[in-house]
Amino acid sequence: MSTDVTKIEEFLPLYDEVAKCGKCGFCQPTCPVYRATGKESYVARGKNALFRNLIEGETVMEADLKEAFENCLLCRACTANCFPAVKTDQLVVAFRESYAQRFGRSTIQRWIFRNFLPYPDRMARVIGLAWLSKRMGMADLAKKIGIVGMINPKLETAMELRDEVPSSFLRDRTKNTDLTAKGETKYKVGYWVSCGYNYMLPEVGEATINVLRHNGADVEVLGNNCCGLPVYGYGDVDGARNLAKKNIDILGDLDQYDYIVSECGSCSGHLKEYGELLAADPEYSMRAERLLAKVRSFSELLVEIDAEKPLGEIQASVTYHDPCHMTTRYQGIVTQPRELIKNVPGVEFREMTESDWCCGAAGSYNIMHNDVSMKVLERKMGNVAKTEAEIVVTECPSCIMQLSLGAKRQGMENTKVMNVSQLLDESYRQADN
Amino acid sequence: MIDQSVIQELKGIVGEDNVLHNKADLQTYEYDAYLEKSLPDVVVFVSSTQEVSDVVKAANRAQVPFVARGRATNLSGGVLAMRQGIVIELARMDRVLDIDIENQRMIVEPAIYNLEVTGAIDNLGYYYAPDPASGKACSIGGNVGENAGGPHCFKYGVTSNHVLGMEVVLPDGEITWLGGKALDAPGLDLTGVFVGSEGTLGIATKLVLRILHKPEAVKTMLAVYDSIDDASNSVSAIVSHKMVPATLEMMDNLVIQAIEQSMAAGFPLDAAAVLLIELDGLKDGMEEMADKIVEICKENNVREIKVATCEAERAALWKGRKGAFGAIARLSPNYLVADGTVPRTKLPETLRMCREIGDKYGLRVANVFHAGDGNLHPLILFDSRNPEDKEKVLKAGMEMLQVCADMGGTVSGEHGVGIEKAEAMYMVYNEKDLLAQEWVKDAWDPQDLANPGKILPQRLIKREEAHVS
Repeated sequence: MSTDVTKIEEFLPLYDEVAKCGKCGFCQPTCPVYRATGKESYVARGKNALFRNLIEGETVMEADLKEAFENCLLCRACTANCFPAVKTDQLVVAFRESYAQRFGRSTIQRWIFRNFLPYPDRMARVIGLAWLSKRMGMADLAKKIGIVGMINPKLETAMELRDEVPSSFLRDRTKNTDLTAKGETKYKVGYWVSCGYNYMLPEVGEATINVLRHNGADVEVLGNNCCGLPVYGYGDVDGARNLAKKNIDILGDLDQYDYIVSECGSCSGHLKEYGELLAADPEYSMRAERLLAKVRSFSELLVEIDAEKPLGEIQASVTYHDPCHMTTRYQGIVTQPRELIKNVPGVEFREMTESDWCCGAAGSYNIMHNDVSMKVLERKMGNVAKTEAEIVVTECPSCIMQLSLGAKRQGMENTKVMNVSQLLDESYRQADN
Repeated sequence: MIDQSVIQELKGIVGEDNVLHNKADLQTYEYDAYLEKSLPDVVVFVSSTQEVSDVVKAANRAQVPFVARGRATNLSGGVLAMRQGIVIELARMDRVLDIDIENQRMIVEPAIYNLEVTGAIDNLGYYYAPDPASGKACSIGGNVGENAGGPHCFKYGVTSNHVLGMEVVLPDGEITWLGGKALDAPGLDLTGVFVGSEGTLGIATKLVLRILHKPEAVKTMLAVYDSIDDASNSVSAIVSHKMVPATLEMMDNLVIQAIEQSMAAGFPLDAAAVLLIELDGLKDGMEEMADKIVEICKENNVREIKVATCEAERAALWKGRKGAFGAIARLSPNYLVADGTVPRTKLPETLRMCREIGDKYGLRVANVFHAGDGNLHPLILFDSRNPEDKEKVLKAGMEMLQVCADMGGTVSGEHGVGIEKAEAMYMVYNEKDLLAQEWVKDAWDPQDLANPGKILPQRLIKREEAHVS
């Protein structure tokens, strides 16, 4: 591997940030990856040291450093427990961006970021083929080619998990569905289609739409692309900006919606950060701010509009896993999902230890670093098991798939994993019947 | 540079994946929470006593120095590999091995976090008393190495009072037990020798801890002062009235500013100093004791006293204190903490002199410390990106320690000596005193392979020689 001996100029604006790290080590106990491995280069303090060394010319950009910066879930637990609140996630993304610029991304990665993610039709066709291969018993072949994991890393997990292949994508399913409010129309809600639900867990999206309609929403299924978070996480910040702008264009006149909602914590969280991402662009950053005013995570919206109390009884013990992007480290939607869950008659809510710890899915992390991801997941499933809850509720497709995988691996066959919207939908349905 | 054959041998012991030796990895093991760096040759992850022993024996055969490392949160350079060699990384040895409630004992592995020891027995109504402010991040093994203290050590004693025995890998690789579960092990008190030896006498692999009943009642108060002298005088007055609060912690204005910026603990921004006073023990008599303390504080011109009325308020006050060192980062990127101890009555004078030293060098000095113990922690603020500042800070730190020594105190309260304070040992010991310590080191580690270059000033490795960056 060739090395670059010049200092990394583009990191200089982050020098003040990284210099704040006093090496106290308080990031260690809260970092899921460090807890799983004990490796200093995987924790914020180690990354900060290496990043500072790069700026000060004590080391050079080379392949050995890549591993350190790849091993981050971007869960921000370090920053939340850091007294000067060093934004290590920003350093990680800056490193990934710079590394890719110097040494190039794999051709296939670049090709996918540029030619697939911004084109939902192409995405749908390829992922459709992947599911088809699974239906035809050729899932292994599709995996071996690697394209499945690249296009959407979660798809591999989904393919492993699902015995029953989804017959069609969420976007197609909603085409023939009644999307109008049940009863009086109170709101017009733009439903953001997350890739995870669209391609892998379409039934979650259907539940969400039902719950929204139940609460007086006329739903419009938005024609959005991928929100761009996975691309950002890979360090393709320009690619993420392009997707953000494209999405802002697609949404068009925001005044037509009272709210834009997503039951994917990653999507809703990332949409709220478009403003920061596009800060250098006066026009788009202003439009991003307007978008921010409309975007709600599912639980956030339901509590805000004082959702109708579900009446159908669900006799079950339930615990809640906070997706990273819902925690105080990102959106800060923490009490709302719990409130919704506790509102369901018959539910016995059991708080889980370390409920806001990352489950280890984290974009492509569970594919790229499967062994560590599985150790992070083991810790999470241990905490789930301690609650002895029958249902784990969350609000993120990545988490749903990762936790389902965890339950399967730990032999917790009776533990169901579902979205908040599915729990509410089930209760509403029972009351209706 | 270490011989490749040694690295191969280490891989043979712990497996290929558990040996790190590329530069990127090594650069994350060249520091701790002190200000210096020294790059090791190789890092070895161990997961059992036997592996530690085998690695140490390999080091002996190759005559390569080694240093044990856990969470590396120490403040005096204790885990820096000053003569390169092997870092023995214990991070994965972090289990609870035994909880013996009837006998109030617990056996743990060294890398378990201090707070997680209490976490494991909390629901049984017990806790582990020594509570360094870094308890969330530091390991018990490190606490033993440094003989760590903490706010509650004023009443309950430091780590050496709570570690009764341990399994140790000696510097030649042999495995042995020191002390045991009983309070007084027969023969020489080798446990006492080992605690605070900073990894220079071997590596502890299992630790027998004494655990205590949680107190029946706790009362936490925040006393706010317009002058540091009044706060210091209150501390002396409380103790001379024969009262032993669980903690007597002082924070000065600069620290209050930092804490409030970082976490809004509810400390008044315009106070010159605050005292965090906690009483614990039986319910009976606690109110009277609290009233008495309020009275004493009033006699010493306290501005106001807040009493925490619920667990959440208590937690907020403690969060401020525990986060004080970290919060300093809001004021300045780096700090050096001079960890000296003086007789309580000398506190006001010592603090004044430390401030004067800071002024002389043009450096800000913030104070947060265990006032009950007279254990000062002047935090000297600077930016390590400026090499001149760093030189000044190191000088100022030494001068402050000299003040502590001159006041009849000592140069290390609880953070260990490491490389930071090896030279300062001359301030409190003469050549003969130090020779007695040299003999102990020679008896345990005649090859000088276990964490060389620490504590004893004759062994301090000069910066040039040590390739310190």
